[in-house]
Amino acid sequence: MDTRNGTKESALSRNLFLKGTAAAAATATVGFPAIVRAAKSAKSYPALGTFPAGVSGDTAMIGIISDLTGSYSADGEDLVKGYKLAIKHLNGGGGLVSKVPTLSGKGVLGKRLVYKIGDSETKANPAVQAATEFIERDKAIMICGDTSSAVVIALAKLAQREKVVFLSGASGSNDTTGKDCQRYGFRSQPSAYMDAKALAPVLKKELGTKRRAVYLVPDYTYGTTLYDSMKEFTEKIGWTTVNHYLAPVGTTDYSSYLLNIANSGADVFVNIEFGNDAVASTKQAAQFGIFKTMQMIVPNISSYMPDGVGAEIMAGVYGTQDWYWGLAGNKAYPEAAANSKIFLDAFLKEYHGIYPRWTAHIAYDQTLTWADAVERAGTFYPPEVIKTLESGHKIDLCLGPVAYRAGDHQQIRPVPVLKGKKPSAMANKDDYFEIVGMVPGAEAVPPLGLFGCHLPGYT
Amino acid sequence: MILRAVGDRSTWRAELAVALFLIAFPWIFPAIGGYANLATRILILGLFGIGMDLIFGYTGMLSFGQAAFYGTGGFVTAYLLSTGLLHNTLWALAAGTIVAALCGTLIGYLCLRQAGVYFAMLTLAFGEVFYFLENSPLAKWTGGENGLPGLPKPEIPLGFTTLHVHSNLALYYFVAVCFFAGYWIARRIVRSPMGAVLRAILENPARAAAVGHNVPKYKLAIFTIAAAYAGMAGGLLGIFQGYMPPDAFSIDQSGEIIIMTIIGGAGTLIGPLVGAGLWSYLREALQNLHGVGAFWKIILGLTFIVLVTLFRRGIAGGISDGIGLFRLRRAPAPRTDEGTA
Amino acid sequence: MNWHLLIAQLLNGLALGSILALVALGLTITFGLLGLVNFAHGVFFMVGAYAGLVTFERTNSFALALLAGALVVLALGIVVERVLIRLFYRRPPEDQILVTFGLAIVIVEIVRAIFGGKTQLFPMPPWGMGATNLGFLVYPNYRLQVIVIAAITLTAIYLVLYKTRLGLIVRAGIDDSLIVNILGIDVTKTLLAVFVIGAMVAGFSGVIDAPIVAVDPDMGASVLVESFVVVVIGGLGSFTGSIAGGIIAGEIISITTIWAPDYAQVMLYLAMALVLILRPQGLFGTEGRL
Repeated sequence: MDTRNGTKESALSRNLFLKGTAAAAATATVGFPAIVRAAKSAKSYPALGTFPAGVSGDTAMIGIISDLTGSYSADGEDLVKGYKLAIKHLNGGGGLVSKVPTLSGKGVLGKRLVYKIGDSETKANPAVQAATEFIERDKAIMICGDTSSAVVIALAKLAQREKVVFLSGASGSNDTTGKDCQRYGFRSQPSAYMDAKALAPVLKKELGTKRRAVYLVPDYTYGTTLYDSMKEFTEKIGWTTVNHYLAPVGTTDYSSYLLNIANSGADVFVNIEFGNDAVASTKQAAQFGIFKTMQMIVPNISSYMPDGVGAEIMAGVYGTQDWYWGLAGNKAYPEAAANSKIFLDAFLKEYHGIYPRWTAHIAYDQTLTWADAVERAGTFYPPEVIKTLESGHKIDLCLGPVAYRAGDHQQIRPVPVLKGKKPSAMANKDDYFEIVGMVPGAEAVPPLGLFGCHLPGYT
Repeated sequence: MILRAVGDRSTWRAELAVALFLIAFPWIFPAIGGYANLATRILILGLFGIGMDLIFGYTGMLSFGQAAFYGTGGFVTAYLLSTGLLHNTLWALAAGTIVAALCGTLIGYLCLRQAGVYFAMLTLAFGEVFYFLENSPLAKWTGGENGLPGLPKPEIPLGFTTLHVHSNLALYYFVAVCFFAGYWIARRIVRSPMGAVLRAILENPARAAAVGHNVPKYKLAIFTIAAAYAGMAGGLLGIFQGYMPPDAFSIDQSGEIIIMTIIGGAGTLIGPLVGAGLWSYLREALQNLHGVGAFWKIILGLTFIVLVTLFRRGIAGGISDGIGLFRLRRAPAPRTDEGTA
Repeated sequence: MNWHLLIAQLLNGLALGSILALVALGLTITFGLLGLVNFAHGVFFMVGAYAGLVTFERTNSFALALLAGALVVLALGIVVERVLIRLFYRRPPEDQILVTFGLAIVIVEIVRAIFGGKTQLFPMPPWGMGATNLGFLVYPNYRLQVIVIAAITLTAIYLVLYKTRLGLIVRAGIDDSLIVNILGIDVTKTLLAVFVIGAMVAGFSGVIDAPIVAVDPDMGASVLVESFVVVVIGGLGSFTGSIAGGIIAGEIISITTIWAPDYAQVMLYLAMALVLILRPQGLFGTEGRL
């Protein structure tokens, strides 16, 4: 432990030393135009939000908000790992940074990225407080994170009010890029609608058209919108919705809900719970013998749900994830295979054999996408960065070429549909899923405006 | 006569000192690593705490359900502003305060039939009822688990012009004016005949009743007033953050305000502000130190235990005792909390 | 109306209620015998669960985990009582509430510092796995076993407190410490014993409940509030009351869930408020002690 820290630190200081000498020596050559450009751009835009105060020194600060404690903390930890790795690569090169032409691996627009992490406790108030502090005290030039849609929406509204770009962490609610969409907020994860639309054809093919579904739903924007979308698309393939039960986030004992579900006469159990709640409800459902008579579907599978409930229960479960490491080197999906492999390998190396989950992928890809937009805009001035992100320019990262939609800031990206593997079929202890398909983003996205998005202004 | 004159002058001294402090606070606070938004947050909690102090410090009622009124005031204000039903921030704030006070009257009427342990548990239970009501049955209006985001920055029409409170510093002074008004009113209350009755209830409820005071009526009145303070503080929280969080209703919130009041000093009115300041500042200063993060709460918890065990007057109480000692050259009569069992 | 579901929920209410009764019992013992309301009771429950978890992970024995849960909290109870609580027996109830509340915060944060804030799953003991088919419903074995364990524990505690010489001394010592002192029995030890028994029951119930829910530093808070509801409904300080209150609370939650899951918690607290307003001493409480 000590020696590892030691080498890390010396590597870091060597790096800084090299950077310092390079900058000093290169004023006349390479560095010169860059400095001129930076100086020019800083002058030509008015102050807005934390610009230019946040980038007046030689660093740019990113405020990361994540669930370090609370119901979604396992996912939150994976998310933070993704941000840290992205920032490390942007500052020092490596990973997918070398695949994006605009990125130098020497910071963004010559500024070294620094970050702070605030714990949201899976609640909006601590998240908003932490973000406010990052913006006011630290002049964060970008804020990002969290794994609860309720929190993400609150942060996006704060970002809009304070005029600081916000990249949402894990957020599946339709409202995030629907009625609560923000000019300053961007979301790369598939929305509930996209998950449901991608999943429905697979369910039709594998489970038939005459199924009766009962839902367990976390009682907030993510749960209710995902329920609405699943209901809509499964009823289109002929299924009946028997009932749905709303449970508060952080419920520990699901027994009374599960008895209702066991008695509902349904043959499909759609579990929309997330994080620890998904694990607790599923384990308890198994104790109630629900899986003897019902097929489980988890439309959006939390990063660490399979670890929590075990492969026996996950076997045969259908669902989607934002990204799955099984895409790495997967010949069936050539557009994602190579870059996913680069990300997977870098992550495994950085975290000593721990596999990345999809929350880490969101963090990693979005941070690089933002850095690319800043480089192409040539400034940190938020409206210019936002316009660049809205330009439709495609960036080729783990999922192949993707871009945000200008009208609602939803990323148009493929949706991986998964099926749980039997324990005997798993190649290693993290090999929980087979990828049943990748539904192209253009097929899955809702028509623009379906969920009432009206983006507010830039300033 | 002389003593009374001293007393009167010290009345104004306290207000003047608080006013000067409120004006200077955002300018001196950065010297120790604070900033305007943190100062605003402290004032909001300080205002919330004045209500807590009125019922606990002055009347001896330990309520574990004050968050119910903090949340109610906050959500009423936030609902009116975020839906655009009202544009005038002050009207929305007043509406939130009034609804919170009405809830206070209702809950107070039910809880005040009991004292001591039962009062604490009843208020706790009603606090939980409000929390669960907000979360599910009323979610259509409160946003449930999502809370209510999207409150506009304050707008205050003054007749001839409309004040737009936009910068963090302006927001601070807006809250500071509200705090000062709340402090000023509370000072009037505790120095009025009503205040004298409340202290009599604190010392010995049976005796207060025996000499002819309508104890339940006074208790209900002060409980309602405390709920109004909580409601106004909640409303300010929503306006200040632009977002009204559902956790305003949580038990933790009720507990924290008790701790802040006692650490700062119950029965001083300014104590809760001191406690809120210490709580928020230590949290802020220690949380970002790697490895120390979790310990700020342990340190404050231990401080709290020591204060409860040995010095029930808290920090502000200790300081004001010290000033009194210096000024009058005699020790003030110590409050004998032990004797009221 | 689906009768199967009603019966199933009634049974589930009994299972929920038996755990609640067990937790509330510790609270009611300390209050009934010492007149002390312990806001740190939920924390004893949580510490018991963590002690059980650590032991179960090392030894794979649920019996040892139960023992560890009870013993660790017993030790904690002794320290807490000797250092702090004994100073508060004669202080007003508000002070007792405040000091135990402060204690709860400190212990929760210490546990968080040691184990982290994340929720940890407590594995089900092998004999608790599987489910029993009752014909009209499948019900998890462990929850049925919990009903039995709770019933045995409650009976054992009842026998110790009300049918043994030790229990007699304890109760006599509380009622009239002077006389008991004259008889040559150390009352301070009696007070300590009562406090520690209350704490131990909480630690024990923490381990029992852990495989059903999961373990995290804040798990004590909701348990504390729910056990308040139980003792208030049943009668603070009444042995029968905490059992009846526990079962009533469990049934309210379960049965409300059939029609209106949203209102399950609200109904519980409204029931408590109703009892307090109509019969302040609780269904089985006797007036007097406050």
